[in-house]
Amino acid sequence: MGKTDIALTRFGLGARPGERVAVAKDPESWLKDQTKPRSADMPASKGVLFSAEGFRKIRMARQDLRRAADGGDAKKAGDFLKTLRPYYAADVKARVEHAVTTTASFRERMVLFWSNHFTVSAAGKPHLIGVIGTLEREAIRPNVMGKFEDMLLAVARHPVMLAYLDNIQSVGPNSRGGRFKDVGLNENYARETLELHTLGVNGGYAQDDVIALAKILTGWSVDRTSGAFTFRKAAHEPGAKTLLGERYSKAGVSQGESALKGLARHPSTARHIAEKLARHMRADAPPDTLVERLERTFIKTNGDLGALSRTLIDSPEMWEADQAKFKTPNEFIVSALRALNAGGPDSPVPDRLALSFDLMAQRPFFAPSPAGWPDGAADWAGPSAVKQRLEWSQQIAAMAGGKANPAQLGEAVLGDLLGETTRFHVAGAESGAQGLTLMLMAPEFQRR
Amino acid sequence: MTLLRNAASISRRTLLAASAATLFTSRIAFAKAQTDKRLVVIILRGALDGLAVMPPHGDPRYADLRGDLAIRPPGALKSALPLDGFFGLHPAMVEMHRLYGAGEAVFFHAISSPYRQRSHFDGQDVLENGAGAPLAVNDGWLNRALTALPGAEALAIGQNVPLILRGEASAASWAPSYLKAADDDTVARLMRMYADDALLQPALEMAAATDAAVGEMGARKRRGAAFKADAEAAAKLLAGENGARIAVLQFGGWDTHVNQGAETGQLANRLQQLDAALGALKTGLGPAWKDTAVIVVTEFGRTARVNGNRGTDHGAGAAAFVLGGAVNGGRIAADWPGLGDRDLYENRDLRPTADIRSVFKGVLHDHMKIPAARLENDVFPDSAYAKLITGLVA
Repeated sequence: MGKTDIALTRFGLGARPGERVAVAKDPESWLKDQTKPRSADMPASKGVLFSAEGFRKIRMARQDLRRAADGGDAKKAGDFLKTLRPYYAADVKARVEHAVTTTASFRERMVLFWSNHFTVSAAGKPHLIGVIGTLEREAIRPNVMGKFEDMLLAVARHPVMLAYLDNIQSVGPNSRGGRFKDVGLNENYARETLELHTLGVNGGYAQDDVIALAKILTGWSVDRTSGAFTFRKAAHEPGAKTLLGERYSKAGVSQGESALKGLARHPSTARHIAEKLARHMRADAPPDTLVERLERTFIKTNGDLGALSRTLIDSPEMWEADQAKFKTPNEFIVSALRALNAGGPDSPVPDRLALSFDLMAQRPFFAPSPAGWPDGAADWAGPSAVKQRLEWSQQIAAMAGGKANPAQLGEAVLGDLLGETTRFHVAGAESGAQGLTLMLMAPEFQRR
Repeated sequence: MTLLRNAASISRRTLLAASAATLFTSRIAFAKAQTDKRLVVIILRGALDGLAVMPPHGDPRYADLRGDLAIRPPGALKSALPLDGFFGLHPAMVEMHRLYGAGEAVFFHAISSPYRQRSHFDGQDVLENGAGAPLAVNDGWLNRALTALPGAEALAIGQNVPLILRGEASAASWAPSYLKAADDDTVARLMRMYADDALLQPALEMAAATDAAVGEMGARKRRGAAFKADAEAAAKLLAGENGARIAVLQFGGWDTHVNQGAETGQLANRLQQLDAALGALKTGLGPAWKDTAVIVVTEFGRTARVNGNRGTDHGAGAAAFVLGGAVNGGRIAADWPGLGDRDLYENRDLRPTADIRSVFKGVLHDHMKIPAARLENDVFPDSAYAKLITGLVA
């Protein structure tokens, strides 16, 4: 089994026709080159909001939105949300177009991984829809091969995360602002930071630590005028706090910065990230050797994400032939569009294709909870889900209009991964469109 | 011609009436089950606030602890619906209150799975795996129960099967599709291509069989409020003589950290949707309602006190509901721990005084007739301390 197809399919987001030939010369260098720049490429930003301007817009409609959040009659808020939806649509379209066309698809996979790790979702927070994609652009992409702690801090200062997990409402009980009615501590962001973003649920923290971190992070908020991050001294719980046995006595925003850096360097974080990354990259139950190697790299390099990516590339477990991961809907759709050479100026991804994610129950930036999307086979291979993929493939194959020769396409994008059974059935299809449907639904194409 | 090609092209009525058994060899979707009983499990993801849905007005601490979030006691306009004098029911739960009045609902309070930390994800894992600890097993208790019900089909409403229903017994999933149905011949070829695929072959086979059955039962694309539509679809798929016997529905959005609301507001709107769905389930099931038990559960409760943002945070003791035409109800089963500082779990949450698995066991035993030994040994391992509750069904 050559490394080319594993590099393209398991590390990358699936081959585009012609890409195999280019990568085949040196698949490992192709991957390693992608880990060198600290930042990922930015999808086109036409028609997209930046978080600060988005929050200024949200602020203008604050009263209506509050009524909407309270669940009252909120037609005006609904009208306002309608004005935000085009920004979301533009963002999703640009993101798909970028994933489908990029030549650095391993780096883009890492963007998607970290963006999902630091999930923000418009499900339950509809007023965030116009800015929901900005955290990925502004906090994830710039740090995707940088340091984990820089990404964690960028996320913690990002208006969308602070709004999504309610930190902008969190006020220290003994702060100047704490004496007002209906304000107080909100532990939501602190809990998810410990449980999901850093230590992991078994990472050794207790309820007291959740409260301590929530107090430490009081005041981390969004400025009403500029729409950007601000530290509100008046909301910050005064005094030193003890988190995981460490005393944090600096004042103001630097207390939170120190605490987050401490979490980023905690051994439980290294373990948690290593396990999650190995599970995403290799198998739902990944080999211990891979997890341990990633963990060592994380600790040794102080969470250097580029180094972590290179450890993946250097790990023999990653190059074993079996395709153990079932693609998530997002991975399946992107890889199918890549295989079909979609995207780019000649054949832009049609607007309505953004609906594909919806149809397969993985609407971008609408994860059901702060845990983000799961990526296990059991989560995505339900009977109705498989049928949905089939119906979608059939429609895509019809749209491709017999332009592609499915047998050749299979060779071009799956290469050595393509098995005899699939080859046989694709070759024997009664039409080009049917052959293409079978190719997209083939076990080798559904997995990576 | 292959099995599935046949299945999809012949009249669906014929399929169901005469030849389903010959078409789908081992895994017959919607064959006649040995039991007529229906079981629906509704999982409320995100932790429903038990103190809002079943306010304990008889507890002297309630009004104080809850402040603006306290639901007014029965009597005033838009106040709680009366239950037993001690507890009330949230005013949005009109259908549920009617079922209680008709003796078709048992309400539980201060109940929880054995999980005592406060992660949604681990909490849901424990609720669904039935084994007492996160990730203790990889399959769900309802799937293990299903293996004890010959011929009974189980399905999840939604594209994928949640943990509670995953495992050795095959389970279907169903969600409406907006795309053109797959071509029969393509399905047949794909089935041959999947012959050696242990993941995709059973999934596609189940989907094709479910589709055929669903066409007959008349479940349609969703319309109106999504969760009510889920309930309507579930009712259609359960109602018929050859319908499924077990259905799982999931409804999220209960994680009310901010602006929870009281008699009206965010949580009230959510409850109203739940209530409407229960009504739709009853209506849709028609005569099969008398054979039905519905369990409504959530992963854990919320803090007894209001947080700083007129919301509540992750807690412990929760409320749960068993309702249906088969239920011996009109009563409340709660060993009330009290809301005093020292009564609360970690001076924070309603203290759980019952294990939710006692309810699951009771329904599976009395309603689905699964032997107690099987429940104790296989379905809920190491749960002897969670005693089976008898008498939940009539």
